[in-house]
Amino acid sequence: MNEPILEIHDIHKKFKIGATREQYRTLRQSIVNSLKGGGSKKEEMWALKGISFDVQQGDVIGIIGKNGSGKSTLLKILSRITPPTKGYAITRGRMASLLEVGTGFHPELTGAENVYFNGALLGLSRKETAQKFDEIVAFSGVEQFLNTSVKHYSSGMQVRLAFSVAAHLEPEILVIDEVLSVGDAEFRKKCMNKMQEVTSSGRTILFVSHDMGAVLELCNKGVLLNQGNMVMQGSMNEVVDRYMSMRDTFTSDIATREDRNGNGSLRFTSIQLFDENNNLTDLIQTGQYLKLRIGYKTNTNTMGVMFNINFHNHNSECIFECNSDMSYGHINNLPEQGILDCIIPKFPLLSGTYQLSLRCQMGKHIADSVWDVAKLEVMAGDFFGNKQIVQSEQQSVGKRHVGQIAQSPILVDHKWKI
Amino acid sequence: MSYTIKPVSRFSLGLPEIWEFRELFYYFVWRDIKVRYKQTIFGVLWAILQPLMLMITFSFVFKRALNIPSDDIPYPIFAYSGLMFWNIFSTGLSNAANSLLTNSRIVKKIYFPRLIIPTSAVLVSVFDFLMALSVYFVLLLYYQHSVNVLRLVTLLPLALLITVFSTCGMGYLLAALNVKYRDFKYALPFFIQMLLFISPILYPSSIFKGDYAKYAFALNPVAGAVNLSRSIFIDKPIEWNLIGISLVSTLFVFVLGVYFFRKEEAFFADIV
Repeated sequence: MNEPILEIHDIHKKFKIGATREQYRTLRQSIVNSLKGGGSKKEEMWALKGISFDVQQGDVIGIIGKNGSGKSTLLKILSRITPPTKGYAITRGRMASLLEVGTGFHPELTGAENVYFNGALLGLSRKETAQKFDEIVAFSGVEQFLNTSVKHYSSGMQVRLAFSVAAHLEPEILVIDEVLSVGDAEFRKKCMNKMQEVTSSGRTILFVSHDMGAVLELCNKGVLLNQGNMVMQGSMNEVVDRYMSMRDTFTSDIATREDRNGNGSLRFTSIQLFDENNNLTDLIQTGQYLKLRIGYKTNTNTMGVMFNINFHNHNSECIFECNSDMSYGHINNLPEQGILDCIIPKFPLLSGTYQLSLRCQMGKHIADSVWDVAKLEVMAGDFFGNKQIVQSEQQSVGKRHVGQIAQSPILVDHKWKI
Repeated sequence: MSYTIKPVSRFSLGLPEIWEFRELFYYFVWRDIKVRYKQTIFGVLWAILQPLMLMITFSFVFKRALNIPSDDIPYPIFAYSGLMFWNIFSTGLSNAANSLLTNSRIVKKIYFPRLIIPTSAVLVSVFDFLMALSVYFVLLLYYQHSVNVLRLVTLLPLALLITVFSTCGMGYLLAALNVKYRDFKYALPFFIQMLLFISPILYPSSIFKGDYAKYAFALNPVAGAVNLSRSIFIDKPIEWNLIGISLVSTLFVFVLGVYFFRKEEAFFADIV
């Protein structure tokens, strides 16, 4: 076996909490602290506690973990932006990072000028940028505006141009930190295609993302981080499975929320989501079992109560609702406080992030209505029980053979007789 | 190409690395110059207009109203030659000091030798200087004042070097401090203004009698540079010891700046 292209040995990173939480220090504070002998008072936080793994040439590694697990810190150390506190890593190739939207863009420069500047930032020589210039511009689709200042671009255009420059880099190791979540669906698809192309050309990629669909599609290996530790390393499928099983218990306390409507004769107090094994979760797969448990309190004699759980997308458009009037009928004589379960045996939505809202009506009056009480992340899954993963059309590119593509966001169970 | 990422250990100047990133360095300077006069009507003309306007103002106030001596040099030339160098220092320093903050997004996301950022900020003001220099020569022709040409071609570049290196040195120091403590952002304009008054830009250093004043001025690199540039008009032997003092103090400021900057550099991304 060849030498790994990237070796990571026991990387530690310590942050002083004072320095990270406050925007910046003032001289006075520093002087006062040092006079008080404040060195000992600084709180320390280990963002990474000994990460070691090897990356082989051509590996496409997905790094996943909850917010604050140290994913981005690890990438920062590997791209040399910040030094490790302990440990070391050896890179055997040119490394470049794909940047967030327009990080290297100057709003006053024109599109063309920014392409050159960004190219230089990402490590392209002037000659290389000049050679690829036409290709970059064509890919971004902003040809007409090349001589316009970037500040007049829409954010979508900026993303496209930035991604185009980065996509035409040819580093041996490409580092990508959560950038594909931007842009419109069409361009996203283009990006994913380009990424597939990059992966199949034997390039090594480190990819950090919360989008399990994208990670599963692109990566062959995965690394799971939790609170600065490496939990596991293995095939991407195994790592994602493990990640889903260790997701935090997810309970949303809504008793104290102020932003609600209704006359208050009944109040929602909590919502919890469970998977088929009765584990708390906020991440399920299309086609899986989902149980929603709602807590409430009431101070009146309840007559003719209706509960409604609303699922909506990031544009707040309602996709479907679970209405107790339709599926259960009027509810009377509820205890003063208690819980209700609503079960969706086969979750019908495609991969994406959805918000839940709750509403309760008594007779004609709204008793309580709270928006965005819980967030539910849905991964592509097997809905029809035929071993076919169903993807939404926008997210699906390449690797078509693994699944089916749906055009509408919602699936309905059905059968054909032929 | 193999590289080992490890905790920061010892101090080095990192020149080979800057050489490796020379193209990025070029693009930073190029970008900063391009951006500087975007969306202006006069564009690059501002590089000339600024010292010119100041020179006219000061000629009225200091020559007409206060009748400040100017070492027998026509006051407009006298003031302009001082202001040219002063502009490198004042705009260069304040841009360099804020450069890491204005580029913080890049600093947080991409690795490259950070010295490039403040250096390019200073080089932009050198670009302004080169523009302003044309007016300087026009003034020399207009006033028909006699000039020692040998000194012009040797001492003017030397004065430029002194100014650039001392501006860079202070720029590095303040840029690094500014990342840590924003106090310096507020202290800087005040500091620059103060320095203008204690530098012989608008008055000749000969206004102070005695040797102490001479040596004190020589310690201030900008004063040293300005005096050097004016010696092209004066038919007196050059005081090499004063130039020596200026060179030493320039070197000191530069080394101090680089040292401090390199020491803090690794952690800029964490705290900027």
